[in-house]
Amino acid sequence: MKEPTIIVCIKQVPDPEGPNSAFEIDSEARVVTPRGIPPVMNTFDANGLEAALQLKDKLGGEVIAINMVDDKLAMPVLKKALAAGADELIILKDEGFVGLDPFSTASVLAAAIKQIDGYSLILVGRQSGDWGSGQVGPVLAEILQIPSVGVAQRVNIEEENIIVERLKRTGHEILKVRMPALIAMDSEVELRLPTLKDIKDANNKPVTTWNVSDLAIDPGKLKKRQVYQLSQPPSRKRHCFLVDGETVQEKGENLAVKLRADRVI
Amino acid sequence: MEDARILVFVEKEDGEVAGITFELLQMGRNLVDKGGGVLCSTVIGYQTGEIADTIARFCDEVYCIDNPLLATFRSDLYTHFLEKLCRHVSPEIILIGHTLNNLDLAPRLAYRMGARLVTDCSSVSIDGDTRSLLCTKPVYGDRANAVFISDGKPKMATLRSKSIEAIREGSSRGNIINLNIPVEGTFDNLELIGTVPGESVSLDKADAIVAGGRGVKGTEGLQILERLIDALNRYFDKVELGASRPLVDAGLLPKARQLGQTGEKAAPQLYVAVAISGSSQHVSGIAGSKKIIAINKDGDAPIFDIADYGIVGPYETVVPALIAKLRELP
Repeated sequence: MKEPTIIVCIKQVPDPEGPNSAFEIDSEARVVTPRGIPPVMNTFDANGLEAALQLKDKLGGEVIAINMVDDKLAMPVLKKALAAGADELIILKDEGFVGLDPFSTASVLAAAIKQIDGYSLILVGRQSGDWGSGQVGPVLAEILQIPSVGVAQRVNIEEENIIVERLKRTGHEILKVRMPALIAMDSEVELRLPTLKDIKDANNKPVTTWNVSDLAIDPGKLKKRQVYQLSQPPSRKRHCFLVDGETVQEKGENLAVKLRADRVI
Repeated sequence: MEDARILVFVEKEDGEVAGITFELLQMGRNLVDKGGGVLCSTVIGYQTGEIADTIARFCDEVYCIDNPLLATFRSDLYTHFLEKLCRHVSPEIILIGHTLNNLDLAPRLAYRMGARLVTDCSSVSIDGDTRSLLCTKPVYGDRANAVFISDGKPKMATLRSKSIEAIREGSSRGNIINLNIPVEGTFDNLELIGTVPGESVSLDKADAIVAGGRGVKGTEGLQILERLIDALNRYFDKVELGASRPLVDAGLLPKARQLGQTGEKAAPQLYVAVAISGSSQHVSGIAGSKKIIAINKDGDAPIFDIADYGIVGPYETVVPALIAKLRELP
């Protein structure tokens, strides 16, 4: 069996663990601007990267990370992919690539991936932490005319097939998928932490940048994401009755009494 | 717009109609009530006659494809047949459940149909003049609400569960139309080689949920939650154990118990959040709960903002005291 070439699509998003106040909603411009929180690798993409690295640990081969950058701040996130173990980084960078809708994003990624010889597997995250459409992966597979599986918990390669555990509402199913294929990852495999040496070595790994003229795409056909309105979500705030007590135990007991008094129980 | 068809995909679960279907039908009914048209649905699978009969009580037309190939869900085959069905029915709007199965299916189908798709919507409505579809979708981990406009035909949306009440049975009965659609091409890229059943959990049907978060340490912590569930069984018919994402990612609990944006949605009578900080992603799965109790040692945790009752303190001490009193109350 030849060693696999695995492509991982990664995207940077404002840290989803950041406080709500760090997400500034500009209803006029219809954008969300992160304030004081750094971009991080989209969680599910990091899971995809780890799945790729585990396959590489086992089978050898090559892991190529691919990104459509629209932000200088994203470089540390992308370097992190190299530090974690990706062999190469491809950045798709062009004015025309900024703020594309999911189908157009997929078409740019597809054009880039068509230029990568003999890939076996594309790993993506099931959705992103920003606009969260979850459409780019499946549509990418559709354009490339390869099979795809959504919400995978685990991925393995056995001979010419990919073995995927796909999450179901209860339990999971095991699918055998012919290569090349696209697999969208759920959150089960956590990305490893790079060592200091890994971080240093990442600086010597190849980074390729392609713009629109490097790809076989018609820029006139690319469509921007059209947001008609952007607003604060309805407030979920409730008045919280803080249960008091001399000791923590007493607080616990008082809660039961209060719940009874309020007829909650 | 007499013949504008609004098509709902019927979602199945363990051979029965899944709850989200009735929410989709209500959403479709609302669109028809406001903008006219015909509410249709599609049942595809194998030996689904009974399901079609059930669904006919809620809409005007039911389009069915019955084929042994569709006995179990297969994204590629379902997409193939649904594409053909959609080309036959030519709907103006397609409403799909935002379920695990459809995460892959809906975008691929939309691309084939040349349709604009908005996923994970909390609501959709029709603009009366232009007949554009306005899709409201929570974005940035439910920190903002975006409205997208779709034009053209068809327009597609996937709907987040528990966004709308389930439809009530109508007085009329819809027509059932069986379509005989042959399979074209080969489908040997994917093969189902095994199913691993998980524990059957229906958080959406629970009366009360006790859920643990990042602060719950290991199986010992879970045992404390189990004992609280046991104590609450005295007061509620069905009490379930839930979790926010960290406990599930740590492998302590199955995914079916995860509540939040990418997990289950539930609106029980009582939700007890134990050592859960309350990220917006988690809260989006439980915000509809009637009463919310937060127990957390960090008094600044955002969970207290959305709770009705709060205790600031370590759950290891608070919960056992709560349990003792729950048992002791007359």
